[in-house]
Amino acid sequence: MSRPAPVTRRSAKTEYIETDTGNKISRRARIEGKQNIMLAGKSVVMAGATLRGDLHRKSDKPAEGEKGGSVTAISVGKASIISTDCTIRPPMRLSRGQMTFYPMRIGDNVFIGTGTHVSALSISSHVHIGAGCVLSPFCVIKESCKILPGTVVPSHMIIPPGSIVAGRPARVIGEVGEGWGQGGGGEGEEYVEGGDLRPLVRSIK
Amino acid sequence: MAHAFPYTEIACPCTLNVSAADSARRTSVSVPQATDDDEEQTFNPHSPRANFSLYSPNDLLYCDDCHTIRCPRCWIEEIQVWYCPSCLFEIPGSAVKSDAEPAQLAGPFIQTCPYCSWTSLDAGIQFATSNHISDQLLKLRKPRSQEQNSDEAGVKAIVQGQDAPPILTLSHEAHFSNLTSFYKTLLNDAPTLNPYAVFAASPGASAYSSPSNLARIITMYSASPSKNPQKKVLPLREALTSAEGLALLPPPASLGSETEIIARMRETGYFDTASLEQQREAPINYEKRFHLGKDALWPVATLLRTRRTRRCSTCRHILSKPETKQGITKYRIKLLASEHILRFMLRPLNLPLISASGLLKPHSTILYVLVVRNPLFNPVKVTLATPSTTPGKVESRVTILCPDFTVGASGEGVGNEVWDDALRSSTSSSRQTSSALSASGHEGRHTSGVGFEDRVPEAGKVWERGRNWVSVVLEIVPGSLNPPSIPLSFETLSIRQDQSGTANAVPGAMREDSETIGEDDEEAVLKIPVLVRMEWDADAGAEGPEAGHKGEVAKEKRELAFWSVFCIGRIGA
Repeated sequence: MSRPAPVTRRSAKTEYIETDTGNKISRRARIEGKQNIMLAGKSVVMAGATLRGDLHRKSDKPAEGEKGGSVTAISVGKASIISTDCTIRPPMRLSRGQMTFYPMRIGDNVFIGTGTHVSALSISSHVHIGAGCVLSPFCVIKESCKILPGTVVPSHMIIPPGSIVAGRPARVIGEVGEGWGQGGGGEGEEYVEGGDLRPLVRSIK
Repeated sequence: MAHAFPYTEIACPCTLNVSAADSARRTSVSVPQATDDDEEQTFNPHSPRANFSLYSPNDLLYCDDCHTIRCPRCWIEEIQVWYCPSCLFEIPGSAVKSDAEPAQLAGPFIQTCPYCSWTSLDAGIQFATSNHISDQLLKLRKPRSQEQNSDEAGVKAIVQGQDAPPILTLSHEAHFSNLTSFYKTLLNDAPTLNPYAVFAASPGASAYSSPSNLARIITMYSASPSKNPQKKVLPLREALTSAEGLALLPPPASLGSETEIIARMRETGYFDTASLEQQREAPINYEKRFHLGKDALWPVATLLRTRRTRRCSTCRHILSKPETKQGITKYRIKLLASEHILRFMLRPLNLPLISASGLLKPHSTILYVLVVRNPLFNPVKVTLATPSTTPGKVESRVTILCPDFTVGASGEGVGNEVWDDALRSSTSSSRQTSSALSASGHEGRHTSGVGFEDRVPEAGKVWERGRNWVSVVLEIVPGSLNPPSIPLSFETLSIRQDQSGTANAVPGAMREDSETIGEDDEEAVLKIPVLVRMEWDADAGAEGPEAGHKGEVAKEKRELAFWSVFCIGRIGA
């Protein structure tokens, strides 16, 4: 009885809400349709980011009861970071006469820079996306790519693994070497682009 | 690519082994002969040649047979897998050069672009089968270029102005074959000139396949080197005439006069003209101006992407080998330099000293902490050496307060270090506790600046020490972009030309090239060359076969020295 009451997380108005799996979501992030968004854990959604989970595929057989609302629109892997003022919007297209949204997959250790618009079909793991990029609908970004700031990736473009991409429209301008994402993660060391982002996630408060 | 300051780069030692005589011979004669031996000189990160030897530590590999760093210039690549960049399907090696599949469907085929609705019919191209597209394109192209050449009688002379020599226009293929034959004769005539003739041969061919190479090697290894004083050494030259393969840009319009082009553009509209990017995509399309008609863009095959094995060029040891399975981007073998040599990280000791503009203030001392991390499993003795003033036009003063130290061995995992530090700190003084804490993460680093405000960096003492890392303090006084010298006038300019050889000898006075250096200039970036020497006792047991039956692990002394460049930031005016 003499011990002071435990301070709850809610009462201390921190910038981020931390979930049980270690996801950090800014209170100032705009998240629509949160039941359709999956964060695998230790991922960060920063202030001003917009996640459009409400844009999901409407099921063919409506009013089935418990099945409604379980469709995943956006799934994000572990230790991925969605920076400030990003927009994550699942791609859509006409399919059998109906406008249909397609689920978006973002892998592990993906960094998405400030102010980037993402409508990609999938982003694989260890991808580093710079600030102010546009990933047009249905583009596919494979593993270990680096997208330089200000790149506009055209729709339906497939970026092969290990590419460095830049330009408007995007062009593959080089290859990341063997050392992509190596190092870092150690104590006191900076995080490395394309590497393990967990230390960076840990440092975000 | 632009880096965020501060960052470090490493000069591959292979570039320093090229002797001055070699370098003078390979470049043109007009370059003055370097008088000093390259190895004796301080590495100048601002010299034009430094561009070709500096690499990010992550881009370098390490040959554990030669025990040295390997860069793209000293490794050989072998293509392992070809794949399509769009569909990512692997293409077997045999099919890359010749598509061996039989045709299934009959009938004419065309290529269409679903995006811009261009079809190959616009350029008058139709295919008989759906495969062998490149072969068919080549066959279609041959009669066309011949027809074009016969139209213009092989060569076409256009007189520009009155006195200008006529410019010959040849087809792209003719240019290419001319240039190829020119280079071949050049290499055959002067085999001793090119020290890299071996590498110029195709990767599959042996170094002894060409008679000239063989003759060169024999003279190299013959017991009595018969020097031929009469033999004149001519430098390699480039093609000078069109017959030798010289192509002049911008190429004369194949259509004829500009007015014709303008008339045609008026007819077809802007959207049927080819963009500059499309023209530059392939040499075939350099002169093409339109999407449609006879002078339309020619389809160019998509270049396949490759996954490559890298080998050390001296010992053929595999440095990196990608996984052969489709869709896996991992490497089976990967000898990264960053896992075999020291890793460096720079950070300012006191954060507020950097101005808001991000530019360094001249003549004000700044302190940087250099964290040296040891990835090896043995303790390493480190010696750092740097010139007291940086080479280049802007002279900044640099002092490494503790240039000699030993870095402890790296453990198995990162996790262990946390416990080691925690255990050590609990037994030692409270001051060390705070140092261990301050080093244990990003949040700690910010507090370290506050906690150590009273601590003064001392010469000869390391700043902080962890299990496999040591940090030392660098004292840097950035030089001024425009040193207080004789003000530039027309008189001094004329003097400068006379004294250009001796100008450097006068300290503080005019330099060789005393023009103003802007903030955006490359010379305004403060780059510190540091010679890093690492000495350690390696376990020789793992490599030598005879070491296996000895009970104890044989130790072997190793040492490695390389130039590293620390790029601190831009100096403000």
